[in-house]
Amino acid sequence: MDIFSHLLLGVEVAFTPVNIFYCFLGALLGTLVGVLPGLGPTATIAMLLPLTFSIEPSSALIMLAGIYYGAQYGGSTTAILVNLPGEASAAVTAIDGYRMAQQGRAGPALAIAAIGSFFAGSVATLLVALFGPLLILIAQQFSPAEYFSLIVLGLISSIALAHGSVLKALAMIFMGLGLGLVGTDLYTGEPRFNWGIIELADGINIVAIAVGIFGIAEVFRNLERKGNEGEAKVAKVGKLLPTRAELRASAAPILRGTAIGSLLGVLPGGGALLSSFASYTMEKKLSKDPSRFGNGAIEGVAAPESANNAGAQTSFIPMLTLGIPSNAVMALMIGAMVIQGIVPGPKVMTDYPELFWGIIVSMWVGNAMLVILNLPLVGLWVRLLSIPYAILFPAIIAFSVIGTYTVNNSTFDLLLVIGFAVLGYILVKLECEPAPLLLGFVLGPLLEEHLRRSMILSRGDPMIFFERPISAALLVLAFIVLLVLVLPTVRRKREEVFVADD
Amino acid sequence: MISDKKSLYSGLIFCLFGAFLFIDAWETLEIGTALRMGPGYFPIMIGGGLVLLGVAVMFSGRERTTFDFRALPWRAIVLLSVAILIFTYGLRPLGFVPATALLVFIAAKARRETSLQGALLISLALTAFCTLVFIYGLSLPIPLFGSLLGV
Repeated sequence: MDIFSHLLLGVEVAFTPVNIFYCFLGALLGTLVGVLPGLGPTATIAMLLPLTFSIEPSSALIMLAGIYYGAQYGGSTTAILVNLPGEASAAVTAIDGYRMAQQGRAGPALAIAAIGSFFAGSVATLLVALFGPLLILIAQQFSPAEYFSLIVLGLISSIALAHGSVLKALAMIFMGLGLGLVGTDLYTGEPRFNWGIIELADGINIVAIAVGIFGIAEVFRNLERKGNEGEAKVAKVGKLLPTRAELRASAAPILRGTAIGSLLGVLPGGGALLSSFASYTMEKKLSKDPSRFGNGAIEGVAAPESANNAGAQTSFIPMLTLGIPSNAVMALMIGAMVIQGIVPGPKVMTDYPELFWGIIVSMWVGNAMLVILNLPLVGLWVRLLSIPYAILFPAIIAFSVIGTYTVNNSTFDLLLVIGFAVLGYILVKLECEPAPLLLGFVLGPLLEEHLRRSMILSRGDPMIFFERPISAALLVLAFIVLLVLVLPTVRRKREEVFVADD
Repeated sequence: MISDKKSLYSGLIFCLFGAFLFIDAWETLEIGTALRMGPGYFPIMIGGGLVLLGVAVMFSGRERTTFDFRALPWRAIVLLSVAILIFTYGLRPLGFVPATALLVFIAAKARRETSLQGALLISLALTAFCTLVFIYGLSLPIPLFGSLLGV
């Protein structure tokens, strides 16, 4: 089957009324949480994960995907109009976007952000369709040794995503690996770290971890500020259409942002966040007059907004083809597949082609919906900004708690939620980022399985990981990534880049 | 003394968790050999690695930081935990509606500035919304009112 018949299958799946509905729902929810500061896509997907239990796998993933890239659109609205990143990856958009709004050019900034996002989203979707199957062909040649090394690379790269100390991020990965051990030993069926608690026999429920660490811990963080929510000052939108000059100035940055985002999205540890920061830095470097940046340069909106949406789309490639998530949201998508009884990995495309191609085509559909949702309806979203946190956070709590309970009808999972919320909050206060922990948790069982299978294949000789060329290359790459991350110059650069996030 | 308290405490958490994994695996699980790894082999590696990383984190501090346990948002932490606990153990006997109403009410009060009337209103509105979504929308098999209330 060639790409067209594949895409045709995707069109058939994505254009069923049910899936259009879920795609729309995802895009809508994504825009909503993107617009609202204090509620991000990770927390939302964690919260809604239990609800996807009762719907078709492809509809579930289509909706969750919509939330992720929808949040990239919505995040820019808040960034431009209120100077608050509604979503972390829109932080750099606020720098020039808000300046433009102050100059009375909020409309064009919003329009360019949406146009750039849509262009980037369409290109990146096509890239997923083209390169996904190729990657699967390669992945089919992988033995356990290559998988082991690939997972190591993925875990190490996730450090790039976290700010602060590399050592702490590494320790958080190990903590996640440790939590992933709980349950039953895969090979012998022997119980492991579950102390006879029936609810732990299949391991810790990923929903409990995600809801605790990303949903409720985040509420603690928002509640620590006293008398928060001062009325947000919302800039006037004004006329939407950008001038010809503005369009011309944005064309190249949109292209470059799309390229960077697509590339960084595929890399393990990449995704929307890294992409937008990297492309903003690049535009500033390339500009003839860098001083314009920070003073309302439209390139400073066009490039990062294109990049974060491209990155959001292409980060599906490793998740869909290899079963290796590159960031926390993708880790939750893996969780969603597992809940549905689908084993993530290269077999997903052949075993569930309608799921694979349906998601890809729906991404394009979703992006088209988002342009409509975000441009003409921008006034509606702006009004949402006045929803006080006093109402928002009890809703987050209620949905998280009821949702978690419904996965297994388990009261035990709710106790876990409390535990992980407190633990996650304290770790964040100690400047340990939670994303690597979640990746470690999801990838831990896979890492162990492939390690043990490799060692059986090699008769106990660990050199197998270095004798096989692809595996060796992946490990060397992981080592280089680690080395680069601890280099003093890069360390300073990362600190610089992440400052805007705080 | 280590002056970077944030590194010190996070390092301690890592060490404790790692040591726990290591010791528990050592005592209760079969380790096996590199060729035939037992259930305990990988946990020992992870636990040991985590202890080493924890020690490294403890001494990795480059600046003076403080961490004050008293400054944590205890009101929010305690009230939200209590709210979830009440929902957890109240759902069966009380039923969905009262348990959700209590959950939302107590949670809303986790924010000091929310008034009693405000919390009540939020609780009423959200309980109605959650009932629509979860009971009627997703048809969860949870009784609206529990046996304890004699309904």
